[in-house]
Amino acid sequence: MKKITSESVRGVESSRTCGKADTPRVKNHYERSAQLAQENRQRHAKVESLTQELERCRAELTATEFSAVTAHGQGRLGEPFTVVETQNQSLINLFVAATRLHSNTERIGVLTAIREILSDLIGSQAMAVFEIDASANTLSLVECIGIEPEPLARIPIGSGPIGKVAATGEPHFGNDGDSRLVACIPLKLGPRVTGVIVVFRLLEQKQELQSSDHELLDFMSAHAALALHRTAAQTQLNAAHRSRK
Amino acid sequence: MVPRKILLVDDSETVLMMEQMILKKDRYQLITAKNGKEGVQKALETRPDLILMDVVMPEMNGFEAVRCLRQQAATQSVPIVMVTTKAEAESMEIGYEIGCSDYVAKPIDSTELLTKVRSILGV
Repeated sequence: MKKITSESVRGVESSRTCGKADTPRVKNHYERSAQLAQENRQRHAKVESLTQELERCRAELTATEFSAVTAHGQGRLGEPFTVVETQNQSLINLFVAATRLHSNTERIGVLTAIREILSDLIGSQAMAVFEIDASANTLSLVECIGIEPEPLARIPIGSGPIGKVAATGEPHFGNDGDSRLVACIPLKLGPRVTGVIVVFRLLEQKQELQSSDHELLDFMSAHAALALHRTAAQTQLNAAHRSRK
Repeated sequence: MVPRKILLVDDSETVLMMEQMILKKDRYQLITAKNGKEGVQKALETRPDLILMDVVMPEMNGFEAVRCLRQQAATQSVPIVMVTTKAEAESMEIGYEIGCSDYVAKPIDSTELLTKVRSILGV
């Protein structure tokens, strides 16, 4: 089928002006052709406009798809990166804590390491370390910063959140219902509780404990107890050596 | 290529160890000092490219050490990043007034520290 174009329509229209002696039937035919040509031109214009609109929509869709794919890709890459970053930070904290606790042979050095780990790695502004005095059934305060030591010098085992942690061996966190302390962790040698570490307050810039802090506190529960026990054993051993000499 | 020198000044061995763990992967030459006085002395001796300085330290605190370093021709333009638990605006203002370049709040975030160090050293 021959395609009707603007040129062919214009040809028909111009040929009409040439036929001065046309019969009415032919005249009608020319008029009808001109009308169709006019409609055809309008439809061509409409098709052209729709084609342009379609191209614009296609370009918009491609751009949107690209943004969506990029955002999705970034999300997929970004998420593991954050996880790796957190794990890396956690590993560094654990490594530093382990080295600090176990490289000290003196009790004072281990207590300093515990204090530094709580303040510098966890961000504690006020903390305390208690050890169990089994003969008196109490907890004795052995190290603290940011608190008044006198009222907490001795705490009966089982009394208050700190005494309860010593009695049960289960950690207690501030969000468990007591806002006076952030975390209370038992020092444990196997199943035996030997003391308690308490974080009373965090630094202003630290809003709450993170998952890496919980990991570090878990680690401290066993390793700080072990480090303190080791130095006590070393002291006893040294005393025994001296008395033998 | 000669590695960049960073002087780490802090009285906490835990912080010094932490900073070394974070920065050693970028192969910097790391020098440590345990208080402000030792920090000033080592800065003058070693001429570091960057100093990470704690604020609360025995003998000479971080602010005093920065003032001292800024008065010395050899160290007056060395970038100094304060690493401190004092993140309050007042402390930061004092730090900037006396010539420190930036702040990192404790507890140290490894990514933040690395990013700031790399940015200052232009790595």
